[in-house]
Amino acid sequence: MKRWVVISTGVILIFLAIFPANTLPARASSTLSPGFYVGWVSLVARTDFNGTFSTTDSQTVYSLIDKLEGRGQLMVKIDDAGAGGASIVLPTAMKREEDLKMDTSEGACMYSVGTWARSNYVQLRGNPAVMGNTFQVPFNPAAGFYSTSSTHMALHTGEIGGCEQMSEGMEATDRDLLKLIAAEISAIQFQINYSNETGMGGNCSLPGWVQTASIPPYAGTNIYSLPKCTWRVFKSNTTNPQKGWK
Amino acid sequence: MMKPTTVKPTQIALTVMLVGLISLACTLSQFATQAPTSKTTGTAQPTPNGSASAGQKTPATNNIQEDITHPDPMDHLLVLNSIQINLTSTRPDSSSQSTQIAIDAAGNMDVKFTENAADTENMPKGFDPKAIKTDSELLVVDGKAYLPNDLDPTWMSTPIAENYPATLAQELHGMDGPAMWLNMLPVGSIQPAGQDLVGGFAVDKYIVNGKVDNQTISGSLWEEPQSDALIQAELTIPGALLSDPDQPEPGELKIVLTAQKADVPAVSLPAAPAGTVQPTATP
Repeated sequence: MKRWVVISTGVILIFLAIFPANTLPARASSTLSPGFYVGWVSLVARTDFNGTFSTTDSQTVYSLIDKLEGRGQLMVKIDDAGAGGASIVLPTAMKREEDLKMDTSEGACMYSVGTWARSNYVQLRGNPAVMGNTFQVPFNPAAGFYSTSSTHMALHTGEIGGCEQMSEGMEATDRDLLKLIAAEISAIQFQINYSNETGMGGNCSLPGWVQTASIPPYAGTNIYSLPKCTWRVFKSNTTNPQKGWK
Repeated sequence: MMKPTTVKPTQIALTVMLVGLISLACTLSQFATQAPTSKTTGTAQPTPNGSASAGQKTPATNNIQEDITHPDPMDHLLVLNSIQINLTSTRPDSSSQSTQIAIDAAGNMDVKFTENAADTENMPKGFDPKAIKTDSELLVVDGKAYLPNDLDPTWMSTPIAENYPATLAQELHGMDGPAMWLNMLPVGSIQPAGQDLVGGFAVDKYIVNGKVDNQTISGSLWEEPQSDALIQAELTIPGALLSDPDQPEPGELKIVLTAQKADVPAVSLPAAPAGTVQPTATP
């Protein structure tokens, strides 16, 4: 009988040595609590440019601001294995404001143009992936982009001509340019700064957005920044049907 | 001196059974860890035109439907006809936005967005902020959204979005709408408070008082029982839920939704200029 005990114990130890991982639930490196989370994401992205351009008989001062403000819903699902995914519904309001002043020997031209637009971007959760301290979701505010309003004003002094026409032309052009700026965003990355049994949240970023660029022929730097990008989700009560409210 | 090995047939049989049981246990444990993963497997639904409809029409799994597309009383409100809806939210920083939706008898819509306290920061010199139009208006005919545009005489021929009602519904489920907050409240947070008559609807009233992350969301809602539509809601959400818990934002987010029966004039598109294609409206 002793030999029977030895053989059985050996078999058990061999199997435990070969298959230890399979006998334990797979866990991600993070310690996120499994469940369905719902909450918000809020961001402000902008570009700021101030530049000058000089010729022998003129000097132009040009400023440009693009601002994108998104406020939407974020849903995160984490399964028992620690894998998860996120969905976003992120309406974004966008605006472009540009201001130009040109001084020449014949006079001065000043114009201002404002353009406003909106978009609503929806991205449903994809295949579950291991949730670490960051996770990324496609985000393209240029999709579904539509201009909502625009305006311009122009003033000139002296004999300089074409000032009004220039501002009108820029008003039409800016609607397209604002969409091109929005198209530079392709994803949003969420950084988990805090998490517990009731929820999680942190900062977010737009990969590739924060940068500097130039706007020829002006001397100056176009600064892309992300003054605000935060998110927070709350764990839904698993016994509460998600819809119905009663 | 070692004894010759003598293993009884019953011992061999027991060993084989034990090995079989361990193998079975290992196999079952593999299934147990894989099961949740297979449930949530879905395909990302890019929305090339940015409209919610693209994602909504082809959700990959039932779980995805639970996230966004499963209708709730807010969605039921948007499918009512001959109704005027107003949703206003005032944020802790006192800025506000409102959405007015007029739905005619055919289900076509006139949607107006108003952003108060327009962002005048860095406004170009010379602009009068009061002159800046911060409102926008969309006409929705047969589900397609059109943007009236003085600069584009053909705007009525070129919809900016298909299936716009789905997009609108999703926008109204954001952080400035009541649905998102109501959806996250725990059971018992919404209690019946009798019957009422609001906006021409006989409704059931409910008191809202529930905690999310130790912060109290309070208010009232009125629901029309037959259509299960949310007719009215007043919610107060603490600013602390709109910020990092370590740096709670003071103030509150106030959300007010009202709806009333109304004889909304038929929403239609003006005739397109000669030479352009006029979309056919289906009554």
